[in-house]
Amino acid sequence: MSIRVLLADDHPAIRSGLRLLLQAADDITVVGEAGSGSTAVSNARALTPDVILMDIRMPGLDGIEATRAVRAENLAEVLVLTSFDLDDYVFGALRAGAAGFLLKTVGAAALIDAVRRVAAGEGVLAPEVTRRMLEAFAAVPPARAATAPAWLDELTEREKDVLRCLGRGMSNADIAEALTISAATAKTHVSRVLAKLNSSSRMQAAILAREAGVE
Amino acid sequence: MSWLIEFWRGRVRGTERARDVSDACLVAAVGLLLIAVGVTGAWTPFPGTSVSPWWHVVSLTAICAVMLVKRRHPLLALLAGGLVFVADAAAGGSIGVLLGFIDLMYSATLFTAPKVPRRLAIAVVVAVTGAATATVIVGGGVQAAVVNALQAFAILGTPLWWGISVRQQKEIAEMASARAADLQRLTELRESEAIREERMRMARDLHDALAGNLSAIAINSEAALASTGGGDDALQREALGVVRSASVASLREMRSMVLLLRAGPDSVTSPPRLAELGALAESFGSRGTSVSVNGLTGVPTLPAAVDQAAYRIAQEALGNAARHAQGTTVRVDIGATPATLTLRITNPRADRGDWADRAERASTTSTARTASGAAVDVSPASSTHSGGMGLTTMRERAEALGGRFEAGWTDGSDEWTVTATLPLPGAMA
Repeated sequence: MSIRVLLADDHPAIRSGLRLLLQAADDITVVGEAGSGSTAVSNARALTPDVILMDIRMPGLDGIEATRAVRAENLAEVLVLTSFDLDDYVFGALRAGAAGFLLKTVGAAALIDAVRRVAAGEGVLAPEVTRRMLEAFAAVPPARAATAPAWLDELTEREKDVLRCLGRGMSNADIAEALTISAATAKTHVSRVLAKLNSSSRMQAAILAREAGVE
Repeated sequence: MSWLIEFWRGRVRGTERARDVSDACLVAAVGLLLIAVGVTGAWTPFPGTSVSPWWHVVSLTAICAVMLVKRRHPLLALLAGGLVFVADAAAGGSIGVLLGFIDLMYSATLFTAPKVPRRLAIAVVVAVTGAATATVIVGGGVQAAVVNALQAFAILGTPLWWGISVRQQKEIAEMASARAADLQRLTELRESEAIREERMRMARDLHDALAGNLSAIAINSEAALASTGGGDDALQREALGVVRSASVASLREMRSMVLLLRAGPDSVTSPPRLAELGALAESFGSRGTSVSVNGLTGVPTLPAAVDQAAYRIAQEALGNAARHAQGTTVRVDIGATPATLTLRITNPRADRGDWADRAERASTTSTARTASGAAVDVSPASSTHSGGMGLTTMRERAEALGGRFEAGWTDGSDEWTVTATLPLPGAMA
């Protein structure tokens, strides 16, 4: 059961470099490439990849818009891979539903690990991005229960526990361990929470959890 | 005759100093002439004073000497002149001294601080009423009092009045010219602002291209290191490691650079390249300016900087053509040799005259949709829309790459042509 990956970047040398990097992993297959955002979306429809490695700055349709389109149709998980971790890129990509955000300077092992984790439904952030995300959250005081959003009432107590774990950036395995349930049950809970939150990624759910003051 | 006018305007009245000196000389000449022909005794001398008319030459010389400092010390000159005038009047008075005093009064109004004329006016009122009152007191009767008051007003009030009105005209003129200068300064600032923005944009675009190449180096060196451990050769492994860490370090430094160059959130699409000219032409076509593009297929792979600059120049030139030659057909000719890329944009003259000389300013961003539905920015690249500004930024883009730029009416035809010639480096990655 190989992970199918689509490479979206307007720089051919970067696509071939990523191909070389991912070749080292036996469980990852690069199924296609795209040189622009719009091509990435149409290729995602045609090739049904599990994960798209998405550049941000591309001609025509940019990576953020392409991510939004891909997530709207639930075509694949998106792992953004860009030159710079500028704030509007990071937040733009995560709001659009990207499951991860890495820099192109990422090491081979870290990239392969990230592809596997995103394929498994987890979120991945570059360390420098994680730090800034936390600072951004710290700067905005989380809303209190008084202004709890409506969707919070729809969650069962168990699901709230799961959301709390998501807010802490835990993987499915971590959640299973923390709540002493099986990995399969954890996975089911997570997908149900995401559905109720109408969010397209764990990352989005984590942001919503923080904003709703679920801690 | 003309040399005389030249001499009068240039030498005699050419500078402020020259005017002051010639004023004094003229008063002296007129005064001497009048004394010579015996026109003296402007006033009734004090009883018991009977002097030779040539004594007036002394007071005339004195008041003309005072006139030389009227510009630097206007009030002091007026005071000294007043004393000379009174002394002269006591001896019967002379027209020359009277003229000199009137000029000093006028100068005191014109060359002093803004508040002085009002004070002088008060002093004049006091002097005029004083003259009338004094006449009554010495038993001159009402008629004589009125005559004296009128004389005092004629001598003191007229130059004051004249000076005040000249002063007001001068202030109005100065304000107008100051406002014009401000406006010009503002325009220059706006233009330099626009040029600066455009330079920033160029810099950002180039960084984007550079970052792409650096990322390619970082990823490929990592791939090589990871796949084989960099080979068996320790030297090769070390060299690869250096390449990798240098590229990572460069990207980190470039991130600071990009942050410096960004003014607020940027567009997240990468800078357009020449290949997107077709979509641009199409979007212009949908807005009533048909654009024909020739030679785009023969263009080889270009360095990013040349590619981006060529697109921006074409965008700017087409934007200008669409504004100034609406409804015509604009031709874009692209020619490439191994050494250069030539871009020529030609449009016929519309009925609106030569637009490059006219600075139009309307900053609207126009977005058009192509048939495929993609939004294309079809406004000229620079933020101001004057023909001149656009020309400046186009020239900058071309010359920054060591290229040439020309724009103008083609000789003997009614076509406006913009030509950019950009050098291509021999070795292309």
